[in-house]
Amino acid sequence: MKAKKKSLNLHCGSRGIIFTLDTFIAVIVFVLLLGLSSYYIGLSQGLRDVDLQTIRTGSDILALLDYKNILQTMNVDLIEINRDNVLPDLYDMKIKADCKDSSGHSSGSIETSEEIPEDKFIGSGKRVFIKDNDNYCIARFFIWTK
Amino acid sequence: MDQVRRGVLFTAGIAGMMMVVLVFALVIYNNAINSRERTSEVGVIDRISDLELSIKNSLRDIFNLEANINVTIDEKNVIFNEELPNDEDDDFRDNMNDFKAYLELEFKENPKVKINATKITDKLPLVIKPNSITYTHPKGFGGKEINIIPEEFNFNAYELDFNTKGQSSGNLNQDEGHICSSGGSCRRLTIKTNSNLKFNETVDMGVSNKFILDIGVSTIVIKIQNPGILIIENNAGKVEVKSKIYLNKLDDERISIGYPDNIIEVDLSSLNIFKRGTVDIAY
Repeated sequence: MKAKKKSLNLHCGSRGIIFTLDTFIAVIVFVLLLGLSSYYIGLSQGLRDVDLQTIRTGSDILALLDYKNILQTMNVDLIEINRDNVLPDLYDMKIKADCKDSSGHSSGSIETSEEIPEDKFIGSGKRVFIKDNDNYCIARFFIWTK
Repeated sequence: MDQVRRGVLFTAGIAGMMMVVLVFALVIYNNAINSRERTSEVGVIDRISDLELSIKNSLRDIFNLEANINVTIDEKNVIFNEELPNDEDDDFRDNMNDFKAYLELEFKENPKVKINATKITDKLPLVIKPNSITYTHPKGFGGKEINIIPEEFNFNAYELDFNTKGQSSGNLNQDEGHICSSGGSCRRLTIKTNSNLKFNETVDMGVSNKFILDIGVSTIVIKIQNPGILIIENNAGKVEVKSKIYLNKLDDERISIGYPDNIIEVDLSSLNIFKRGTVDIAY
C-alpha cells in the first residue's frame, strides 16, 4: 500500500491536487456568474408584466360600451353580452359602475360576475358617464390575460 | 511552466467572459426596470387621457340634453337655433354645477379634476373655431339677448330667421343702416320671419347699423357694430332665433364649435402632469 502511494506521488506530485482545486474553483465561479446572469435576465423578463396593450383593450371596450349607450342601461346581462362580443378570447374583463344622483346619493351600482385573479397583472381604468340627465356615474374596468 | 501559465490564462479568460455576461445581464435588468417605469407612466397618462375624454363627452351630453340650443355645422356654415329667452337656463346651470360638484368630489387628488363651470353657465359662450367667432348671451344665459362676436371680418354673411311662435310680425325698419356694394367690411345680412324674407342686402358692418322688427306689440332690435358684431335684443315674447353664419373657411381647417378654453383641468401631481382642455360641442 505504502509503495503504491509513493509511486502515485512520484507520478503526479502535488500538481494533481492543484489542478483539481483550480478546476473546482473555476467551475464554481463559472456556475455562480452564469447563475447570477440568468437570475437578472429572468427578473428582466418578469418586469415586462405591465402590458399597455391589455390596458388599452379594456379602455377601448369600456369606451365602446359608453358610446353605444350600453353602460347607461346599468343592465349587467346586456353589458356582459356586448362586452363578450368584442372582448378578444385572450382576455377576461370585469366591469363595475356606480352612479350618484344630483344630490350626491347613490342611485345604483352594478358589477359583472368575474373574479379578479391575484396572481396576474391586472390592467384597470375608469370612465365618467351620464345616465338619465342627472345621474352621474363612474365605470371601472379590470382586465387580465386568461 | 508554460502549462501553468496557459492554465492561469484559460481560467482568467473564462472568468472574464463570465464577467462580461454578468455585466450584460445587469444592463438588461436595469433597462427592464427603466422600461417598466416608462411603461407604467404611459399607462397612467393613457388612463388620465381616457378619463378626460369621458368627462368631455359628459359635458357635451349635458349641453345636448339641457341647453336647448341646436348647433349644426353645414360644410362652411354654422347654424345656432335657440329660443329667446331660453327657459332651460336653470336646468342647464343646475346640471352643470351638480356634475362639477360630483367630479370634484370623486377626483379630489391623483388625479385632481377641476371644472370651470361658471365660464360656461354665466353667458354660455360657444366659440366657432378656427374663425374665433363667439356666440354668447351677454345679459346672461336665459336673458333676452344674443351676440355673435367675430374678432375680424372672417365671415361672409349672417342670416337670421325668427320663428315668432304665433306672434304677428310687422315691418322691419332700418333705423340706422349703411347699405354698401363693395368693400372690406361689406357683408350680406338676411333677415326672415317664419322663413319669409324681410331684408336681404349687403351692409357695411364696419359701422353701426340698427334694424327694428315689429313683433306683436313689441320689437326685436338687431344691431351690427364694427367688426361685424351682431346683437339681437328680443323685447317681444318668446321667439325662436335661427342664426346662420356663413364662414370663410380657413385653410380647409375643420370647423368646430366648443366651450371657451380651459374648462377642464386635470392635475396628476404624482407624475407632474397638468392638463387643461375644452369641449367641442359640434364638429
